[in-house]
Amino acid sequence: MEMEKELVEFLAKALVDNPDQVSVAEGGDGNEVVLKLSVAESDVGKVIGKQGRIAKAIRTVLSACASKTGARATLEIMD
Amino acid sequence: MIKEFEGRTEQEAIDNAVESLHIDSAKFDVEVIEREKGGLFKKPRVKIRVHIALPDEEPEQEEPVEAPAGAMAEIEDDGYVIDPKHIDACVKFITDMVEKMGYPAEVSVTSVVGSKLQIDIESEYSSILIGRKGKNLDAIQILANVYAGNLDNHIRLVVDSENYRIRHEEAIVKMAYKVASQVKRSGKSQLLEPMNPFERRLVHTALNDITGIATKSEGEGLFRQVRVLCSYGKKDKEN
Repeated sequence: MEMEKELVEFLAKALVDNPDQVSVAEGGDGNEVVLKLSVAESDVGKVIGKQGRIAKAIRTVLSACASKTGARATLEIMD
Repeated sequence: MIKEFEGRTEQEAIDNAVESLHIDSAKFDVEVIEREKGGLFKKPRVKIRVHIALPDEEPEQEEPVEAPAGAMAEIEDDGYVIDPKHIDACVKFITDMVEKMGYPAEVSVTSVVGSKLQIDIESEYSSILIGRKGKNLDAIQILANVYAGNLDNHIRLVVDSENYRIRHEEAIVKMAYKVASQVKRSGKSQLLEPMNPFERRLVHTALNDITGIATKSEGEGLFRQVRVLCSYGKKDKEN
């Protein structure tokens, strides 16, 4: 679960204008990882992208990461 | 770099050169500077001079040639010069990303043509990094492009692993031809599965030259599909 959280945090920080306002809360148990990503209000668009393109890419990369341990990960973007 | 070698025959001299320089004979030019015929008590002797391209010139000269022509031919040099700092930053970003995913990999730049940067991921986990139908590779490429766009809006990245992009392009073109011949035979149009703009363009250009076949895109956004149809005779079914 640590790895997934770190990955999302790393990606979000690299994509937004205000990296210091990125935070990821984790939830779920065992094989179900739920990550809640919060970013500065003005940056929400940067992690979602047109038609959710970026959010989709982050989720894809995240699930590839989670599959290493056989876990399933969901990413929620808070606004 | 120029070096001289000797042997009884030209071939032997070249072999000597290959052995002591540890490079392939295709990578240097050979000039024969002295050729002595053997006599009764004298061994024949050939002296050659080997011209080797300087190592720092090599990658630029070699790599565009190594990559299959199909993929490279479409890349045009737009004369844009990317700041080397940005290239390093992109490589580092991708390296960090795949490492944090849990699949450490060697990330390197294959070519820089104008504003287009071709990047290769080499890893024992490359099958996972590519993903089903290149899903993961595409996601990595999207994120890398967004990151690069924040540094310099002009940069376009292509992320590849195990030559997946080229293999995939070939597969799409092959499939397009196959569908085209089916359409020609049956006269019925066929709808291909949803593809991204680049893949659709591949299909359009591949079938552009085939007489009797027309292509058009249908649908919206991420689900745009190419329809391959017969451009004469039975086409009234379509319209």
